[in-house]
Amino acid sequence: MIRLISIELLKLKPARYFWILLVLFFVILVGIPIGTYALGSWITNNVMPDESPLKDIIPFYDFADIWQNFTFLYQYFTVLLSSLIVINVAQEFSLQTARQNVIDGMSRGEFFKGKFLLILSLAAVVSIVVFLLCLIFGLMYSPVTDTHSMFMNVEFIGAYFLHLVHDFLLAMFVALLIRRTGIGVVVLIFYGWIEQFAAALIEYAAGLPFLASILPNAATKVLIHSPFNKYALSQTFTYIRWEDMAISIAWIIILILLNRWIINRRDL
Amino acid sequence: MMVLETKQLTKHYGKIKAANEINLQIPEGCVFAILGPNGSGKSTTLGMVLGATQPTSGEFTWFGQGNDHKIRRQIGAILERPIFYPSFTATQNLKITARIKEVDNNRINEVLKLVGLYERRDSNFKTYSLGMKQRLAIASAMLCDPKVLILDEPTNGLDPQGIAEIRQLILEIAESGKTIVLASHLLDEVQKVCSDFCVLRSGRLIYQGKVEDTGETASVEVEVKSPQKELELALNELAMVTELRQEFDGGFKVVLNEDANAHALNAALFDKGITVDHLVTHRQTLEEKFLEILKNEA
Repeated sequence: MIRLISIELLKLKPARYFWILLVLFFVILVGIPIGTYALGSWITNNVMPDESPLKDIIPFYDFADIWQNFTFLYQYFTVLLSSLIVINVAQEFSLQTARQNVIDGMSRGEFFKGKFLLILSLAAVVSIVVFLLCLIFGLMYSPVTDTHSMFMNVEFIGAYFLHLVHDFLLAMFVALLIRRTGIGVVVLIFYGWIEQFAAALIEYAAGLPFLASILPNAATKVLIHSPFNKYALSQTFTYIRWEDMAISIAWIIILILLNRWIINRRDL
Repeated sequence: MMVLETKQLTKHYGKIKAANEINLQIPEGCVFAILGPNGSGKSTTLGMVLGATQPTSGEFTWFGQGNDHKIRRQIGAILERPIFYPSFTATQNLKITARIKEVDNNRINEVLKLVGLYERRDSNFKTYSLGMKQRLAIASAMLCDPKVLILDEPTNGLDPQGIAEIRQLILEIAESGKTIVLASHLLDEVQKVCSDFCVLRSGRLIYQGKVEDTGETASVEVEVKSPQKELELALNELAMVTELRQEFDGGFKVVLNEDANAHALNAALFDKGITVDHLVTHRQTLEEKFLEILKNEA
């Protein structure tokens, strides 16, 4: 296992696309809470009248809420990391290095395991960074900092981890089908739009909202429901629903099996 | 011991039989050539025994042990073209191979020196000339100190100097006692370095033999030339001559019967008062043998 992950690291360390996408993503991770804070204070200072009862009640950084707020916003930027996975996997086929790896003595199973370990490690590292960011910004701006409130709803980090693993596996699937880095990334991005379009059709035209909710992308997006509806006094889920989690995990298992099947079966 | 043995190895792409029931035995310590026209199944066969292509049916065994992926770590192989990460340096590329083959990183500099790329080890792969890329591929194949080295068209696209370098490298490696399997369609290349060969055609194995045997044919062919005009008449009169053909340069190609040779021909002509100024025994080249095999099979 250590050998496989170290091979993946040797393939990433000198790769420029890896560092560009990773740095860009981490800049966004830090940039969003700072930007939100600046925007929030501008609104409270300039838009809202001093006597407004709404002043100071938008609790973006408040503990308990912060986990859902941050992870919900961050998942819109997962596509950067998914692109990284698409490039990484598609390149192995467009350059034929996967073929050479197998010729050199890697089994197809090991090749899949290496990529899967890379996906798990990347998802874990990003989740940990997000956890630390939530903790830091919460401690800086949250009015409540008692341990009980702090770690209430911390399970959203777990949901975020599942979302990352799922999206990366989907990216790997796209890469295995397309096998070209550029087109692969384009297809990945288009797929998100096409699925939204299809989901709308299925939900409203065909009247099958359940079917729409189990499409691969939708299934992980609902894991973390938008927390902001509640600030507009409408209803939302402020917890992770078991049925959402089940659908998400089911997709993860399906994608693992599909990806492994393709790698085992195909001529390289 | 057989380095590689295949039994009824077959690969179909839809209706196309890229490799059809190939039974191949490659003995230890030889330099073995797999010959065949383009598209005859050379690369498909090598792809299957190296795990990159899934066989439709049949089986193969390395070193009499099996075909587990771990066995491939003792094999050095390059198929079709050198494959590396283009924006990585030679060292960075070889580190990946070394980790896959579970070889110590110390070997990297050793093999780079072997193929003369040590000075350029920190240059990106994509900046290399074709000859350097080919040499890096050989370095990569040599990383694990392999028992057998498999090279598919190692001189493809190289200039004469590059071809000579690679040939020299192959000969040096062969002298160290390693088994080498060479797939090629450059026949004079093969004749210079190989001891055994087989011929593939349309996915079928149609011949397997030794390179040294190709020179021995039933009849002897001799080129003969003389300034004397009586030469043709004299040749026609000789009983040992079974076939006579005039060449463009005024000389003759003579096919002699089994018992005769150039020495006997020369003596017979001298008896008739003819002295020759050009007399060469023509040995059948691998190329001619190869074309003959293909023709007989067609």
